[in-house]
Amino acid sequence: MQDYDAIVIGAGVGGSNVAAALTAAGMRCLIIEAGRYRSRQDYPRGELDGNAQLFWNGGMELNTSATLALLRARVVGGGSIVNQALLDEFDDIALDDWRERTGITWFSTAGMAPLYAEAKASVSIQQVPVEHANRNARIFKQGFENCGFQCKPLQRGQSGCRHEEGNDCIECLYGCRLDSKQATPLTSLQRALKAGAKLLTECEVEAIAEQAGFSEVHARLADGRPVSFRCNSLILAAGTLGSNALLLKSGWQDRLPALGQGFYCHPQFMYFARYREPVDAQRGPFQSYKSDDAGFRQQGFKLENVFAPPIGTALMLPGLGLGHQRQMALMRHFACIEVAVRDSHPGSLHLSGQGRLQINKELNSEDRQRAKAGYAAVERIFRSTGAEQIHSGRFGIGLHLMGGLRLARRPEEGCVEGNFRLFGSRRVYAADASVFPSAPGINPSLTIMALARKAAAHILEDAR
Amino acid sequence: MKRDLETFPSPVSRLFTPQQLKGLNRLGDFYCPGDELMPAFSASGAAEGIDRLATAMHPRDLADFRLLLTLAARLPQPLLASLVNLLDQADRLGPWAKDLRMARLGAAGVAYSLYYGFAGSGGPRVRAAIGWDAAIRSSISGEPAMNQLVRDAAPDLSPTAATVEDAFQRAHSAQVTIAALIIEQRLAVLDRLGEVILRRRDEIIARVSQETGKCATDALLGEIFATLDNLEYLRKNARKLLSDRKVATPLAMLGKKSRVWYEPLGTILVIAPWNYPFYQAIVPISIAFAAGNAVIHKPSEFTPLTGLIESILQEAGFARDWAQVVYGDGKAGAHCLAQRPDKVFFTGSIATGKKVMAQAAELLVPVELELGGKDAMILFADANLDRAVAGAMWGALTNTGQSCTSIERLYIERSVFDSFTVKLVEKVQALQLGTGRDDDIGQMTTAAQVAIIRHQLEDALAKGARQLTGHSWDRQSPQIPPIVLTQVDHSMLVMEEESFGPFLPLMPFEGDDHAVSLANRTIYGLSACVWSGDIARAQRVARRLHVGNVSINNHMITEGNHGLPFGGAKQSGIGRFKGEEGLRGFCNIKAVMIDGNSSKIEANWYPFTEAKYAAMDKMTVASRMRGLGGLVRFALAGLPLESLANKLGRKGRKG
Ligand SMILES: Cc1cc2nc3c(=O)[nH]c(=O)nc-3n(C[C@H](O)[C@H](O)[C@H](O)COP(=O)(O)OP(=O)(O)OC[C@H]3O[C@@H](n4cnc5c(N)ncnc54)[C@H](O)[C@@H]3O)c2cc1C
Repeated sequence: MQDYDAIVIGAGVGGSNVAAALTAAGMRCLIIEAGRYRSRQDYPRGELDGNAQLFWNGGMELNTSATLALLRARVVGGGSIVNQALLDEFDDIALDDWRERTGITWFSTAGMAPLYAEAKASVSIQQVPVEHANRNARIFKQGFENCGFQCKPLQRGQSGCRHEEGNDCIECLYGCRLDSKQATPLTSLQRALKAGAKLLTECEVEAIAEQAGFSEVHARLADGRPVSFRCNSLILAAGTLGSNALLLKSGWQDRLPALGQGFYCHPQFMYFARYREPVDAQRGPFQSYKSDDAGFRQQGFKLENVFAPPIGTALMLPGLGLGHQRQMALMRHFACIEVAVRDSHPGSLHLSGQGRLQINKELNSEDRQRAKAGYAAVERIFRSTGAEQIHSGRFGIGLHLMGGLRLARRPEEGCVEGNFRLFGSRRVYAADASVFPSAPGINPSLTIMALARKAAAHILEDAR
Repeated sequence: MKRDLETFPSPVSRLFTPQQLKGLNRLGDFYCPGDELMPAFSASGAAEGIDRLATAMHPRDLADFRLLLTLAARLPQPLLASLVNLLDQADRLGPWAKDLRMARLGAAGVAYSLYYGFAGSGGPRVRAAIGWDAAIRSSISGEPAMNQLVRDAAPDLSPTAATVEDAFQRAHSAQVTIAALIIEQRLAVLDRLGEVILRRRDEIIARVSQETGKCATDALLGEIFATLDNLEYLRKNARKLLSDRKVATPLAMLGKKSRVWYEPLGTILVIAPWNYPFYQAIVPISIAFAAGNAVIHKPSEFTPLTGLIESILQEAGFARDWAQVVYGDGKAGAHCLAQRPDKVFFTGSIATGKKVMAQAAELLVPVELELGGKDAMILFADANLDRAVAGAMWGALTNTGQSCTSIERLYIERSVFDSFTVKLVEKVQALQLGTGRDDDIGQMTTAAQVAIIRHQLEDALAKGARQLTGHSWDRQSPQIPPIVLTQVDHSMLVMEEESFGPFLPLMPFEGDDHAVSLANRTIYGLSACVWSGDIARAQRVARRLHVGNVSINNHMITEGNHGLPFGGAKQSGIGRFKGEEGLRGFCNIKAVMIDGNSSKIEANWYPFTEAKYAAMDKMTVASRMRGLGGLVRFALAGLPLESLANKLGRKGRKG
């Protein structure tokens, strides 16, 4: 049995940032991560191995009605390895809602400003260079102009993608082989390790427990061997699904009545439009623009300029057999826009009889309305730019998994107090997207980084 | 006993049968039928990549997917076409169609992943046809420093030589305190240990089940009940067995007293296996402690029960260093042995046992080895068949066959072979798999063990064995159903090597000699059982078996009586554990003689003289004479020798 001041479960966005702050303050930290460490030299090449090697369940995790596919990374760096690294601050709409729900007064643009400043200072942020925008992005921008919608270039955590050398960033969905994307192994995690944090990879935590003077973590190594550790502070940062599953498996639902409640995922729906001339959406920067439209925001959606590699596209396109294959042959002629819904209706997370995570998440009529309004805008954009045919993606996707351990005033409303500690616990904290009280409708990563700093400050204060 | 998973041959897929692969190709062709530009799924070689995908699947999804492929392989073409079409409509159907949607995502997902993931030899053609040319074209060389940083950050999970040395130092000092306790005090601690175990049994069972996968009842009986039983045996018998023993003193030593004292050895190293992680910790610790020893316990790295043993011992009143746990793999065990414990008690495989003994030989550390077995059941026609069937099942399957003394070979007298087989198959099929309280057969504990079972099964089937049950096993899952095999022979691994799994291989025999020769045809000699209505015959046969333990009309019950010793013959082990022999096995058995503080000089002391020689010679001759006459002559020869020796002893030899 080995002892640490703090153990962080999950080396993703939240975990890496909280570990960096705790280690910097002198705590002896252990980070436990289920996934492997991969560097730019050994990221899987291509979608097939990328899905299989970098995601939980091979990238195929569905809600109970099998209408939404949820993606969560399983690799050192977590979501920061596979995400698009779009880093956005929350606006008043999102923060006012959080403040109202939690009573936490620093949920305001002013209150968050210093945290955002620190988070941003810890990574390299660049605007995606519009001069390299591909035709998919140009169609997006043109359509916005045609329809009178507002959009703007993306802010991304990257240090230079060398587009002049002909790099196609869609490849970096399975790890950035240029070391440009500001994944945590290049940033916060690296700082934590340099300051002396320990990192145990390929080790899945199976249960946690809180004893009188310490916390316990029971985990399993890749070869099946169980290991256990003791620590003072225990920080859940296994991502929304991971942290919820862990507490459910450890039997905490009795202590936390709201455990697993309030699950959000910004459901996204992809639309493909075929153009006569090749679009070549796979080339250059993966994305260049995002919607910046007050009307969209009010209607509860945003539009993203995206694309999908071949397997993803094949799964999204309608049709079967030869008809489908012929559409695939026209892949270079497709542009793609995605509607991301700011979901108002929460889902919930449970364990099935066999101990498997069960994700109940549906769109209610309000959220369907939001999706529909988004599609109406997409359709106008595509039509105004000369699309020949529009295909709706066959199912929704959830990439921003949030909630289940929401920050709240009372245990009936959530699982985590304003100091990021679980209700009724003395030493167990959460510091990942699971603490989000609701769906902000904005990319979450930067805020996860900011909240992890706040959580670290509370953990240090409690430990004193 | 460990084999590498990768060594199992498979031309195309390690995870799917050829039939399932055929199903995959049939299914794939519906999704990607191919045209002039693009190859059909089956012609693209895409199916070759299936393992790359499947290893990442959740085990349940994998099981469902296998089912789908088996179905796809068997359904007639038009039916399969309707099924694929139905699945394709599922997105548009209501929430009730969730299973159809999942099946479509499974089928289409795999087909598209392999085909548009360019998995086969046709990949380049597919890639060209869809114009996929995304790439990272810059080259960046050099290994990022992060690689090294991650390597250095890995916590060392094995104990260092220094921690092990420290543990032994503390054990040596602690042992002095233990030895100073009177036996009643040690037994009082063990009595509290029993109370704590009883009170915390649910927690212990949960931890053991979690780490081993065994079912609740196996854990209750094999880990809790048996452990408490042993503590009870110690409570009733340890005092008597450890008290000084008087031994008769021969006539030539008249006036002296002979004794045996049972003293502690010092520090005992216990290296335990993963099949009974709680029992194999507490039982040796308590026996060794009762005898006054300190213990270093090295649990299996697969089932360390981290923290549990210490916490239970501490609650029972053990001081921290009386019994310590050192975690880690074989390296940690070797570190411990290098500290030269006063004895090593090892339970595990023959292969590891040999390594332990080799290292112990270098250091001359006494060993006790409890190694594997290949236990035979001999069933005569006159035995009660229903009882024998029930007994055979339990004997072979308890703890999912992961007991060194589980029945691994069943020799059945030919006249009842068929009727026994029929009854056994019927009963075996009614057993329930799972780890709950209502379940009979739990899971295999380690992946290596699952691989051995698969390997032995495939070997047996290839050599002509017939598998009567357990067809539902996918040859991957640790939840293995009982496998009854007939038409087996000794050319098969399943009859020769230890299985440690839920096999029931049946072979007929004719007559006692045949049964005995079959049963003895193994390098192992742990235990065996003989079933017959004729107890005298059963005992005759039992005496001819080269084993350490034998049960008649039952199995493994010698282990149930903690007063009996346990251990193996042949390569199944060295030494005896438990019972009188076991308790004393952890003792320095000290021979003692007590003589008076008189002025007497002993006859055999110096100096030696001619006269003394003559007297001694007479006495030597007399010592071989029997009866009263011999006794008198012996005394007559002895008396002058005594006075001669006294004189010579004081004055010395005359010059
Ligand atoms: C394709 C994609 C694109 C995205 N694009 C963006 C974007 O552009 N901008 C943005 O802001 N967000 C984006 N996101 C979302 C963002 O990446 C996530 O919200 C973020 O990573 C969540 O951080 P986290 O700390 O909650 O969890 P994660 O980053 O997911 O980290 C959790 C870690 O915990 C590990 N873990 C889980 N369970 C266990 C266990 N039992 N034991 C040990 N380890 C465990 C996981 O393997 C994982 O590494 C994207 C996500 C995806 C999938």
